[in-house]
Amino acid sequence: MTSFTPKQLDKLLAATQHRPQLDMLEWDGDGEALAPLAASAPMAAEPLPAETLPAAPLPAAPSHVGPRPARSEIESDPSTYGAQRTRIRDRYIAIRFEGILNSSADLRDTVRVIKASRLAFEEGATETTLELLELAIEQNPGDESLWLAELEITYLMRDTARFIEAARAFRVAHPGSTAWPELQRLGRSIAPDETLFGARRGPRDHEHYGPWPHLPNWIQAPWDLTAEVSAADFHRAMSQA
Amino acid sequence: MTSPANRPLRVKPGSAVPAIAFGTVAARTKYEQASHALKSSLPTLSPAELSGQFTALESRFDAGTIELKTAMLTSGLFSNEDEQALGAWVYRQHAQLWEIGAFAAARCQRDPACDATSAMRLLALAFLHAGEVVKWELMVGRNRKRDYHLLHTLMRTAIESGRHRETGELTVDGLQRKASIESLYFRTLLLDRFANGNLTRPQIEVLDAWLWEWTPSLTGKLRDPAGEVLRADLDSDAGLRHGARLDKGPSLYLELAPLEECRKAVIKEFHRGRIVPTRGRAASIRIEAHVAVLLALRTLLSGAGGAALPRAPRAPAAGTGVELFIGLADIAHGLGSRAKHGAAYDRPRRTAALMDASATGFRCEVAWHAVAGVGVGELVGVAVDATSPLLLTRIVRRVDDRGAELAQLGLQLLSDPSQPVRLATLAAPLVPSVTCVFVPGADGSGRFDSFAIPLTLLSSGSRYHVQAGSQSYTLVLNHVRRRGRGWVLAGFEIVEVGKAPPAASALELAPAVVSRAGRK
Repeated sequence: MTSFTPKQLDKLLAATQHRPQLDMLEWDGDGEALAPLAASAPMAAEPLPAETLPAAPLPAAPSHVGPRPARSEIESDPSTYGAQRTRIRDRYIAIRFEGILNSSADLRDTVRVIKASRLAFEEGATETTLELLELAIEQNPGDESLWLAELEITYLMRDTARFIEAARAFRVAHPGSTAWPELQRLGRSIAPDETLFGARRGPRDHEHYGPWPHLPNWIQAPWDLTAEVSAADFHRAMSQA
Repeated sequence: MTSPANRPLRVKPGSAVPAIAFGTVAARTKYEQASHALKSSLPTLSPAELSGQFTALESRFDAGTIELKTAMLTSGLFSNEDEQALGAWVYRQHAQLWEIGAFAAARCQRDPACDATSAMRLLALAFLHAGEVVKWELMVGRNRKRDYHLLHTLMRTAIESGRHRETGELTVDGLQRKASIESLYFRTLLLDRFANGNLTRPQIEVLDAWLWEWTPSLTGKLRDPAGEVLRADLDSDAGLRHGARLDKGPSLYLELAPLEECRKAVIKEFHRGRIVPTRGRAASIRIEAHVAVLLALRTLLSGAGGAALPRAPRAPAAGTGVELFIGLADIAHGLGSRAKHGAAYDRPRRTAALMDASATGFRCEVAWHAVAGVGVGELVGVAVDATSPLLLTRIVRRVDDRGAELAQLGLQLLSDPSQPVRLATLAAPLVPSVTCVFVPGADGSGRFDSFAIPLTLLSSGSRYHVQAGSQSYTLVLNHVRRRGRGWVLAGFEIVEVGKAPPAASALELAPAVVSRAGRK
């Protein structure tokens, strides 16, 4: 039989009276997510409370982004999220990518995101790589460099199904991209039977270029070996110290 | 005046939770008396009486512990022995409920007078508490192997009855849950995989909340399906194992691919700014815990430990004595002292007994008081003797044996044994120097070299000068290889090399002096 000292019980009782701190977020269901939809629904019986609506009008989708179902557009567009969802997303990003990102605002620095993704990929952390790019694409759907980096990494992973899916989504989001022929070339290489990438063609004169053979270097890998040589020198100097 | 020991728990206005709870010694004593009375009268009760009394007791315990459990799991308690006492009490009550429930279910299954629905309900409640026992066992420390013989035996009888997949409603922590015997069985065994000292108690609560959401995927197959699986050998006393069974004994296979899809769905919800589940205790637990569980699940669901990614073989180490240096500062201190004297004598020494070793890490035992407050994720230096290089590790598992006052630590190697880690000092103008550890990679390319640094030092874009040999290297710490409690193992990129200034013979002071050079 366990009995508790007055001090123990005081602590426990005090703890039950305290609500969780900032990080211990509570979620009140889907109301916030569906608020914009509900507000625009013709059958809405009564106006929603002001705090459930977005603070500003929804931003117009970029003209080059193809139409998607309304639910999907709101679900995948972080700019439409209310304060609570943004806070949860930011907190998740800060924890998941600790040392790389502090919040979703850092996803706007696409050069930094692509570099971080490449480094993670080179470390073998493919899930981190793809998740980082996925989040950045959701944050900046109009920036095709992120889509292309994701496609190149997916190609390097030899994940054919994912590559085809990502290429199809890219084609819808960026129909006028000048990178499409290059993407088709990669696509024909990884998925020769996929009609999305057109018929097979012969090799081009400039087939071999970039730090990774045959690849366009959308992941912004360094072009020269200076850093590698310096790293080896540094390793040697430190080891001899 | 009411003494604290007899003060009832206060409940938030409007709460559906009964105000009784178990906030007083008297309330807990009364409950325990009822529990013991039921246990003593088990042989004399009819199946109907047994069923009714067990269900009532179980329901009373669930209702009475809702707020206590929430307070303990979301308010950072369990931080000292006093606070762990209530957790231990909760554990003992769940263990008693599992024992009584298993007896009642087995008796009811054998008795033709007991209807099958009642028998299955008793079994479901028993399995529910078997899972809770695994979760709360951390409160008393684990000192022996868990025995699942009874769990497997009861599951076999449920399979034989053909009712193991029927779903029913249970009240758990005041919430209505739907589950089958089979899903409750796998819940217990999956919790067992994680309740081994590698997840904290709040993290296990998050995992459990997800398992409740994933019950449709917790279904088994009697034959080995293709793909990654875990299996329960129904004629054994063991928990889940990877892969197909080689002999012809009965097993139940759990496919991992559907669970991986569930895990990905949780990640997607975080991307959408939502916590899974949206309600309940786990929604109030810090997001750090959720992320830690996602990463731990990834390891299991990727098949690590199975045939494709087997664990490194372990060799027994027969209790060889080793010295531990815990935390970056202690490791740096140890490295400095060893460089000067060959061993660190100017600090209290923490010695541990090495139990086994593999290519990826160690398992050791250490006096509980020597590692009080030290948990999973801590950086640890391991020195086998005064002359061998200090090895950098991190704690990936901790299990306390409170009876023996010992803690068992699982240590994952972060440095290559053939490449000694070295002390480095980060000196920056206008701020105090920071000592860190240079961790050379296994090969000579330098590509896998890292610095173990305080987390606060890692700010993207910061440049540092490092003088090594006759050169001055400018580098950017630009990615995280490993991380833990307040530290990261940071990879870096060298962006500039030049001649070291003659006056700054850094290596006279330390293997490397790193000075901050501003931001990119």
